[in-house]
Amino acid sequence: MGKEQICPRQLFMLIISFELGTTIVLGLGLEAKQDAWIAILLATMVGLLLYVMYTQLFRLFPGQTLIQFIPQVFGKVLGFPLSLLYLSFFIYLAARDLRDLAELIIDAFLPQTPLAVISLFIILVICYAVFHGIEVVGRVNEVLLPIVLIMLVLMTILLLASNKIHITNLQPVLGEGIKPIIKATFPLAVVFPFGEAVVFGMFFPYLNQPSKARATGLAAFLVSGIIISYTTAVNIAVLNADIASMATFPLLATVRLIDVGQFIQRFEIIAMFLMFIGAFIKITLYFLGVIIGASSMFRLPNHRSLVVPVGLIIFTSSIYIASSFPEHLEEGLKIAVPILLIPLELIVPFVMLLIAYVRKWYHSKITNT
Amino acid sequence: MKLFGVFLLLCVVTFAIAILMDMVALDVPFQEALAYFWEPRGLEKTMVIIGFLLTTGYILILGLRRKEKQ
Repeated sequence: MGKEQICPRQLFMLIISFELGTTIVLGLGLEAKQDAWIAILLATMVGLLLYVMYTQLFRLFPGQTLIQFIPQVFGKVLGFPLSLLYLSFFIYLAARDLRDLAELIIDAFLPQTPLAVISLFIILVICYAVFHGIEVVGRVNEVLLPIVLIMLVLMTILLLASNKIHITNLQPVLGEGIKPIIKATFPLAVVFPFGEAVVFGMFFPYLNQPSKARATGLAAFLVSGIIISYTTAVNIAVLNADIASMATFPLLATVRLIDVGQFIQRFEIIAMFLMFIGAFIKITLYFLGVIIGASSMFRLPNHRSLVVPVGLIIFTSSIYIASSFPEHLEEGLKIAVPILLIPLELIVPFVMLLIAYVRKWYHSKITNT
Repeated sequence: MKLFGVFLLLCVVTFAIAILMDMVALDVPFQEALAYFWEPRGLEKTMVIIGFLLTTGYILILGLRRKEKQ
């Protein structure tokens, strides 16, 4: 794995696919009603700051992954459990995304099929991708992402042809002031999906031009923020804000309404395709992050030996994480955010940056005296 | 052995996170959350148990092959 490399273009496309991931189908910021698209743009701006923080850590510890520099900052006693917590955090997030994808497939296409069977086949494909490493995943994503973008354009054209887009649903803009937007943005829309990019701290060392990590990522964040905001605006324009916020999968509900001349109908496949590609890349990156981190942390000679065990943990967790999909969403949106997402995506990286700077300042002071 | 240890460690920490989420979501003590986590579900439970047995076997075979090479 040490010889593997990705180019800035591949990183750019990976970040876009990762950010679109499950977000594009599940919907984001809909608490702000018709202004959800503004909330997402605001969250993107905050997300850019988060990404600057992650890349700054990488600049202070060049050539090292997140799991490698945590013990350097916090010391071995605190660093080991914290690194382990990050690995389990990535497994937990991968399991959540796997559950989202499997539930969408059950909801849209296979209502009689058991959850475990669908999850098993998805995780087998992902295990195969992870087995081949980050370079292959980067190249696969170069093929898949353009298809996602084509699907989005196709969706807009078909919705326009069906005469289902009603711009009036997006009005009044800022009808209830800025408060609902800020409430929807902080913290949920910031930590999901933008804060989740903390996992890229595991892949920066694989970039063949490390100096381009920041500029590439910021551009990718902007593009993905605009795409998510645009998709949310389309969902609201088609469904209206109330129905969009009540739907489990707003994008699926939107594409179900495509009907051109009572002939071109049933385009659920668009939502399915977007979700499958996004979730596939997202789960694969979390999975890769875990095996890269675990093999360096425990000094395992071959990272590939971890693919099957970690795949099994993700598969098991995705089933046992919640007994029903509403419970799964409730846990993810209301409980995981303050307990896991905010501490591990915002607080810990910020504290690490602070400690690293204080140490740097202290060392420079000692060397000067 | 090392690989098996890593596997178990990751299992314990990840499942602990999931149980912690249940504890907070249901507002129940650890034991009740654990029972809720491992509630009876026929096919899923069978698949998970088979998966764990197969993975243990896989790790054992990997370990034996490495020993043979040495």
